[in-house]
Amino acid sequence: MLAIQFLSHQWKQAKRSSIWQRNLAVNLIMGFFIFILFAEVVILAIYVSDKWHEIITTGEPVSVYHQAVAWYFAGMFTMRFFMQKLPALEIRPYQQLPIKKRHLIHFVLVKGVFNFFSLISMVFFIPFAIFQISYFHGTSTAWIWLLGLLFLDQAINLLVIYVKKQMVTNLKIVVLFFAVLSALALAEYTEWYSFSSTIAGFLDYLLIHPWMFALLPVLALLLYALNFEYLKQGMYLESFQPKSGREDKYLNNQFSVLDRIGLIGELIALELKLQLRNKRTRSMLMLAPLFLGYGFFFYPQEEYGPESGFMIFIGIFVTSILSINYLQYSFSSEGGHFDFFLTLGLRMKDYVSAKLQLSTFLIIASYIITIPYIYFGTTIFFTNTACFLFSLGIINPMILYFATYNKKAMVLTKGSAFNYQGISAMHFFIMIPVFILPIFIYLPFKWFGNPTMGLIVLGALGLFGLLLRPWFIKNIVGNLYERKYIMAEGFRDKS
Amino acid sequence: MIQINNLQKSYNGNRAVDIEQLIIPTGESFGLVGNNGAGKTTLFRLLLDLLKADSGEAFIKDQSVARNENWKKITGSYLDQGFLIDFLSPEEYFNFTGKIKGLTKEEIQLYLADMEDFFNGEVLGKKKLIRNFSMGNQQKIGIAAAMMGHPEIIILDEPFNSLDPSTQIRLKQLIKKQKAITKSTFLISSHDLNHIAEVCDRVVILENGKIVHDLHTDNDTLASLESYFAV
Repeated sequence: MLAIQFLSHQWKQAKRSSIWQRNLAVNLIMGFFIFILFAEVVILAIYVSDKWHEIITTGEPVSVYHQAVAWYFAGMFTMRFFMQKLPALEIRPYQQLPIKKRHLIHFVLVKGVFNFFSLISMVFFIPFAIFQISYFHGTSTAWIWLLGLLFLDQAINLLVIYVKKQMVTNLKIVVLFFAVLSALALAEYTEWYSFSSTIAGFLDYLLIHPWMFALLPVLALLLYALNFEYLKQGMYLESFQPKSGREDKYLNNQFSVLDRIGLIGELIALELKLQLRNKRTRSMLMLAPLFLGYGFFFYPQEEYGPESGFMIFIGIFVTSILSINYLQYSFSSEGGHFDFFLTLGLRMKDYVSAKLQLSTFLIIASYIITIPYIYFGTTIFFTNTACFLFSLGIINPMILYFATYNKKAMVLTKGSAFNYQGISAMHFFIMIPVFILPIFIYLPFKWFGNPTMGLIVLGALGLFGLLLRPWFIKNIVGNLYERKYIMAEGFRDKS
Repeated sequence: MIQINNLQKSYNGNRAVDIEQLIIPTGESFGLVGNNGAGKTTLFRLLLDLLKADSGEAFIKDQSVARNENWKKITGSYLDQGFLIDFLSPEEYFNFTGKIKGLTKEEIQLYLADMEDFFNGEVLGKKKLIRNFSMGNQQKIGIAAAMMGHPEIIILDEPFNSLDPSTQIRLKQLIKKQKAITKSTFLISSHDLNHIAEVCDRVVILENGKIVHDLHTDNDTLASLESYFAV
């Protein structure tokens, strides 16, 4: 009974979530795509399972499948770890009601079984059990095999939940995960140690002695019990309180140098504090070096000539991605105190100028840091210089102009590597003109055999944009006045 | 000082504010009471140009708040936590606010020293960010920032909420003191009829966005307020 009540509350929560209220057409289209994608995966799984014994020409088909299963579970562990939300019931409203604690915990844990990733496992394993295992080992063994693997999947799910509760996802953990996975892959590749053969050997052994499959449900139950005990002990209000402390170190950073440039300096210092003192923005900053290193993936490759349009994309990307990242969310990350700014008597022009100056600094810094790409040829250096000027003059104000169309506040205190709160499809659509426009300007010149001229035009347009900056600022301020009521209202609704 | 003409604002067809005329003279302490959903916060937001009115206008010193920004220099306000910058320490927040309002460093220090009594030693020098203060102390920080630079108009939405009893009394003294020294015009909303009757010269009762009573405070004010809200 209680479980049904909980489920109904959860259903209501999901149904009333603001995601659904956005746009029916968009939701329908998304739903259609997800359906098609899912159907394709199902058909692929059935096809591969049916033809597996023909596809695999070397070795035992089932044993090779078990090796694939080993990597599947390794990947699944990673995917679940980063993508899957912890099963949670907003527990506080129920805590003071006369409901037994263990009911709450059981509900939370059992709910965790039903998620997208568990469905994926079923899609992969069921056809294989039907087409291959039952053929080689008989129907009853196939059933046992299927149940065993699904229990193993759940054991991994429960392990992820337990590990995830112990630590907060941050960049160090992401790196650690990829390091371990790469080490396993490298060991496998160099035939020093084969992770997949170990797991496959174990699963093959179980298939020969089917009663041993009972081990897997036992494993899952043990992990369930472990989670249960952990949650039971941790389920007090204190554990929900955010940890304070370690704040002295923030207060040492006052950026007092910026005092010298007056009010705008004051505003820039505030922006820097916002970036450095909130978890969300900090984890974005930590990813920045990764973005600047983008060139290393593409410059060495032969198929992109140094004069291809793609190099313009890379040039724009490495010089402006940091400022784009900052500017796109610069209003919405101030959603928490937007009302204050509107009533404070701050001149909008100063407010907008401060943002543009900080992003200008980011673009200049990105340009200087990426100068060593000259190693891959002087053409790349000139391309990046042209892109740098274009970013500075045109893209910079353009992004801030579009940012005024953002009306969802960003919650800054919750930071994780994959947090999509406050990010909408809009942010990705904006990127399209930003990257397409300079390529479109450049390509005609290249086609007429004068790519250098294309670069000169890009750079000149950038310089022209810099001259027009007051005009850009005027337009952004105008748009801000026009949209401030809509923005303020959206920012007040924090969900 | 403040004038409102035919101001209307609806949400999904529900009238939140519907005021034909309201004039608040300079130096008046104006109290706003009303049950939840009566439109108190909406009225303040309209006055601070945080919401777009459906029709009508609000004027501060004969200038429309929506078409002009001069009023911002003479108005201090604290409505809710949306007025705090929660990743700053109180000192940083006061310095920032003070500088935007055109105060010098010394003036800011002087003002904070003045407020030390109101803060009761729980705000300054704590090496803590605002987001880690309790609700009551956050409220103190917001009110102190609103009154910085002795603005001509001070707008406070339910300032007595979450304050401890001693601080509530200190706030009343602070408002009275400010009024005596600078002749500031106060706009205060509250659910506490005692406080509002004590601090304000005039109390307006709002119901479904309309002004239903407009009382000038005398000895009977509290009694008439209580009888109005009696169930």
